[in-house]
Amino acid sequence: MTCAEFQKVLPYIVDTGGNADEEAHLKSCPVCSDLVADLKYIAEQAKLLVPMVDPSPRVWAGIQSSLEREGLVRPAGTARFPTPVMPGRWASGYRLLGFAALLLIAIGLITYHRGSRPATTESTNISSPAPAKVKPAGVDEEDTKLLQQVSQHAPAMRATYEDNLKSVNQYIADAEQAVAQDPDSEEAHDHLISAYGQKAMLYQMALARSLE
Amino acid sequence: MASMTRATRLGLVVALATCSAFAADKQKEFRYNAGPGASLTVVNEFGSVTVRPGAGRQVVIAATLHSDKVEVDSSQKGNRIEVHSRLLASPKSDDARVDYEIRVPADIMLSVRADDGPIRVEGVRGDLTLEGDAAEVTVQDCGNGHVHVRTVKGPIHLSNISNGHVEVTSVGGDVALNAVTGPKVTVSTTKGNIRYSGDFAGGGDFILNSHSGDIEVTLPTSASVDLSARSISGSVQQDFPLQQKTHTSFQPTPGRSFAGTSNTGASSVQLRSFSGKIRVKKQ
Repeated sequence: MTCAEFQKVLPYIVDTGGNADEEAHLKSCPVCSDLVADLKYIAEQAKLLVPMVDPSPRVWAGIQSSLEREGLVRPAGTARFPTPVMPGRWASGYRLLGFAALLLIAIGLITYHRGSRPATTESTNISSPAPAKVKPAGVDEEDTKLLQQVSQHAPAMRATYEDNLKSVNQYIADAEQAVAQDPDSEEAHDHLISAYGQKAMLYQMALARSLE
Repeated sequence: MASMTRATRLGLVVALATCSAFAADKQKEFRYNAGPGASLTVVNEFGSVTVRPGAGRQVVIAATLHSDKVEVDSSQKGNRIEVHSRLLASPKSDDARVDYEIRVPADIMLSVRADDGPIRVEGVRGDLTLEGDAAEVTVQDCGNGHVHVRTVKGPIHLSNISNGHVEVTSVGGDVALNAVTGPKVTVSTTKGNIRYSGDFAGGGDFILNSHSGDIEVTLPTSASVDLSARSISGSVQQDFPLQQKTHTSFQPTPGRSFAGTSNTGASSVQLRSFSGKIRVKKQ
């Protein structure tokens, strides 16, 4: 098993431990074993950020969907992401903090995945026609909950956050489409990472405000 | 005579109103001794924060409170100084406003969160972390440390920043950099425009990135840069004399991307916009 093959199934290995081939590669390859250790550490730290509740199933589904679009995980069917039971009570900002942490993990995975690609000379996407206009992005369920948090602490800022969340979601949608059109495009991946980074920043800033 | 009387009455009313407005403002001052490596954290939801270097090793915090519905908590633990504006009820933003004028040792590590701002920092050489949702952030004559600035929609102005690790992020705020140099300078926006004026000195890595915001770079012919500009669905315009590179990691396309060097190409400059316009022009 090569490093590239191993890293294709990396999210599952972090989650479940992997099969015999994958375990053998993990034992023999210091690069991949360091990587798995790092990702497990990040996952453990993320759990510390959500001491009271797990993210909703929609969050997992959203991340799974994003990772599938990126080609980082196999399409659903044998969903290996956990589907936790959501408690009835909405527990302040911790849950959204967890979502921000998960966004950062998603960025990390995309960054790592891009870094693990073999070097290619990129030429196709730049000269190709502009991507077709994607459907305008709105705000999703997690965004709505974030906006509720913002409303509670700073009602005047809700419109600002909503407007900027829509802009960032549009950026993510555009970048995802560019990646889908040319999966080898370094430029498109850079934009996708940047877009997720912008969204993570919005969540962090909103939560910093609400936890003050 | 009647008009004189009216004028006098009007004057009295204005004077009284002015006096009562000043009477509502309350001044507070805090002084601390700060050793080398000291840090200062300021959290202020409504109102301005201005930080300048002062004399000696003292931190002097002058707070102007605009109502009795807000108070200031200030404390020092070791080398860590913290100042928080605390809302006592849920007042309107005008009532909750506190304006800070702060003097610090120039090497202090400074962290400011002022949601509405504005935030202004001058002459501080330590690490800076500045955040504000809608705050206008101005940083001037700083450097030799990290300069991290984040806003949601507040505009950001950086000028005369030398040898700094600069990281600027804003979703909707415009970012203007003038004579900003350092080993690593990164600016990222979604729809905010980015404007850079200067020579990209220092042999560093400069990355300016936006989604729909325009990027405009103005540099002198003395600049030593290895520059690339790329837009996926926007446009790229070059009015600066660059030597075209023979080997690039992408195929330059007129109007969409180009890559070239000037002088020895000491600094790496990457300009990326998804759908915005990129323009590089001569100073």
